[in-house]
Amino acid sequence: MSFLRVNLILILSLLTICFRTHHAIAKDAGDDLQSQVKSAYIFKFANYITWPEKSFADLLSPVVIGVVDDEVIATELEKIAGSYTAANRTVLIRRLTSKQVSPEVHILYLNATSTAYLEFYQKMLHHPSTLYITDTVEGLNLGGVINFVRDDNRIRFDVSLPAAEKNKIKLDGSLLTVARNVLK
Amino acid sequence: MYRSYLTIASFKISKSRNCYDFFIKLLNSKTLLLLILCQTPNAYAESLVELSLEELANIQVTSVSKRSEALTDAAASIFVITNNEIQRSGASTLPEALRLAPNLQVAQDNSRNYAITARGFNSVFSNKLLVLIDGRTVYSPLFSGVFWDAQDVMLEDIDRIEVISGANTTLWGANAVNGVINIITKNAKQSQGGLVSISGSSNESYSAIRYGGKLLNDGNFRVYAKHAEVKDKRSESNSLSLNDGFKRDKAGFRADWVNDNKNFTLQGDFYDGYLNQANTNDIQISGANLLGRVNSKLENGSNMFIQAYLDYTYRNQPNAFKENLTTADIEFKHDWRIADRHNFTWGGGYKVGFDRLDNFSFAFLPAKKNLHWANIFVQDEIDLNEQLRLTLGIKFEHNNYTDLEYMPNARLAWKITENKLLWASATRAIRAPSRIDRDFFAPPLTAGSPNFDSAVAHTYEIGYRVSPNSDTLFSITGFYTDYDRLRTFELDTSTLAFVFDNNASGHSQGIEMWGSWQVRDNLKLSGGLVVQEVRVNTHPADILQASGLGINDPSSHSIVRVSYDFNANHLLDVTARHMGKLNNPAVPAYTALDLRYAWKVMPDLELSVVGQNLLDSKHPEFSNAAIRPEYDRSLFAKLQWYFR
Repeated sequence: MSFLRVNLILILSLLTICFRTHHAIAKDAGDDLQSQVKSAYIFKFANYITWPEKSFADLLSPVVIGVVDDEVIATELEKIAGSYTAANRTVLIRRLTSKQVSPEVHILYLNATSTAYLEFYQKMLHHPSTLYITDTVEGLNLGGVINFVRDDNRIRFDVSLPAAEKNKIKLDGSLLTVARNVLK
Repeated sequence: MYRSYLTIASFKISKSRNCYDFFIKLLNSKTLLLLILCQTPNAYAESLVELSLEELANIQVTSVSKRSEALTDAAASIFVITNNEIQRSGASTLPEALRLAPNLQVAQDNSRNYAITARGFNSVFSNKLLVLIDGRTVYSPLFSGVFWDAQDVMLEDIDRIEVISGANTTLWGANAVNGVINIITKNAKQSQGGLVSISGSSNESYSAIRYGGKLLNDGNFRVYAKHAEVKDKRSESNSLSLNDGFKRDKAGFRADWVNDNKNFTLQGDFYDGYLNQANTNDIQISGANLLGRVNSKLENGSNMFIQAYLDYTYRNQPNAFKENLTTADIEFKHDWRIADRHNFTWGGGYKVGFDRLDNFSFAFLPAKKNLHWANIFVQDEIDLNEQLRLTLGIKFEHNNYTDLEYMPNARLAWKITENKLLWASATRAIRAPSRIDRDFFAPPLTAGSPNFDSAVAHTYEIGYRVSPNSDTLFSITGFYTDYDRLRTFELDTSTLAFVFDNNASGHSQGIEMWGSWQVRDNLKLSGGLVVQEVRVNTHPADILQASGLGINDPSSHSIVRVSYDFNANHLLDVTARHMGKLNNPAVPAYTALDLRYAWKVMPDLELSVVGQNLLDSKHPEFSNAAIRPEYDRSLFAKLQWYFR
């Protein structure tokens, strides 16, 4: 077993070298992970959605994900978009500020604070078929299609089928089976 | 970065079929080293994208765990060690994990053996603590105690360890005099997928692998194998090797079928090992067990529990004895609610042990003996009103040596408010004779005594537990136990042989307290303290203390733990333990500080380092200086990798 130990020691010394200036910001634990899990969800949701045909100019048009007033989620999503595709398309992340209208957004994420602008976006967005993702208790009541909830120390989501229909997007059945609650 | 992750991912898929080869290669893999070198925290978010939606929904977003169970209702001094706490302590063996329970005294005797007890009477032969692994008792009827060097569990698959200090004989029966350690592993559904765990220091190395999958009819299974290897240590007084190292292999399985009304479990393990021993050949140990258990909810709302197991242990101590013990055990329990106010439980069990010994320099006679234990118990939990609950129970147990024993127990719980509980209990417990007490012969001088009787303990406890919110818990228990007919070792003047007898009495009293406080999502503080006095009034002729079978207890011991998450991927744990001084043999008080740092490189891969005994260069924990080692500062490293 000694060669195992030698390798372990080697790995650990390398680990120490790698330990540069990771995460100097002290935040509530789990904040990083929560944002990472939510970003992964948001990105992956694109694989479970069918938009109306006109939503994309051509086969090469990217999926556009808008993030309102949330630097952390936007940064995480940009990192993912740098390496992965969704729904066989490249993904473009747009950082939006409150009441800033983007011409074309397929998915729009609004956090607990920016959900207040959901109604504004629904009226003003040029793109009629948008997946609105909210992150607050009242998310679905305010018009969100998917709303994140924290359940038993895990990040889950609820889905509103009426809201999906209103926004002319189809949700894949396998998305609904993972959802915590589906509003019909 | 993306490429390196994919490289490791494809490596994972192609090699996972041959697991042993795989983890050896993983350690040698330059890909892994490259990955670690290139890894930045950002890679974590990216790799999450590779998970399915179901897997994302299963990620716990805080890893400093909150209490897993509401224990505020239990009218007993019970401490629960959670899986998360075991993982975060960096413990590599079962006895090391038990150090997390503030109500246990854990002292390492040498590389392989431990002295573990609750509420005093500690010795490497401590006999007042019952230990069960998934409902199977590992308390040896040969010497009434636990061969800790033969016990091992895959720590990652433990669901929880319930440590109950004090007697709770109605449910547990004889020998649960000062406490019970109930080790409960996860059901197979909770341990799906693969896991490789490798850890080691300059003196110890452990490797384990587990794989869990699905079975027909909604069943799940897991199989595991574990290897442990520990080097010899040196004697404190003369630096000679103690020949106390060991090698041990264990493997096993567990299968569960769970549905709304019925749970069925089938599990088994086998192990073998070589324990070094001074001046002679290695001690050989091996064993196997197979257990089945059904828990079902019947149509009338009552619950039925039936469990049966077969257990085989082999222990060959060259020049001492060779034991082959086969045990068969069956037990059942049935509980139901009567008249809205009574929760009535009754049950019983029968166990038979076929004990076969080859004797050498001393003997257990007869060498072949069949041991029988039978028990029946009743318990009624009565809701006197909305706040007061009275529990009355009694167990009758029959054994070869003392025939019928009775063990009554009364508990009163007053639920002052939803989160405050005041409780009190009175219990009669016994420590039944074992083969060493009755059947031991070392002619011409020593012998077990045909008249050796059970030791009797009467325990009185009062406890208070408060949990102002889900983040905070505090528990305090005061206890007093009166012991009678404790074991002595005396010269029988008629035969001029030393024999075991029951001529000592004694008492113990003390306070146990512990608490935990989840300060923030990423910070948890916990700690515990036991202050105790253990007194034995022995017979003037008793030489037990000099014989090495005596007891040795501190007046206090304590533990403080801090768990801190820098973020989801970087976890820190600090554990400080203090053990008061022992008098005979003298062992100085010591404080040990352990520090663990873990880095989740990817969701499935964790690397950690544990620094043990950081405060002092070395300290002993038990026994006398000639035969005990000292435990020095050491650095452990661990790799834990989950795969699908």
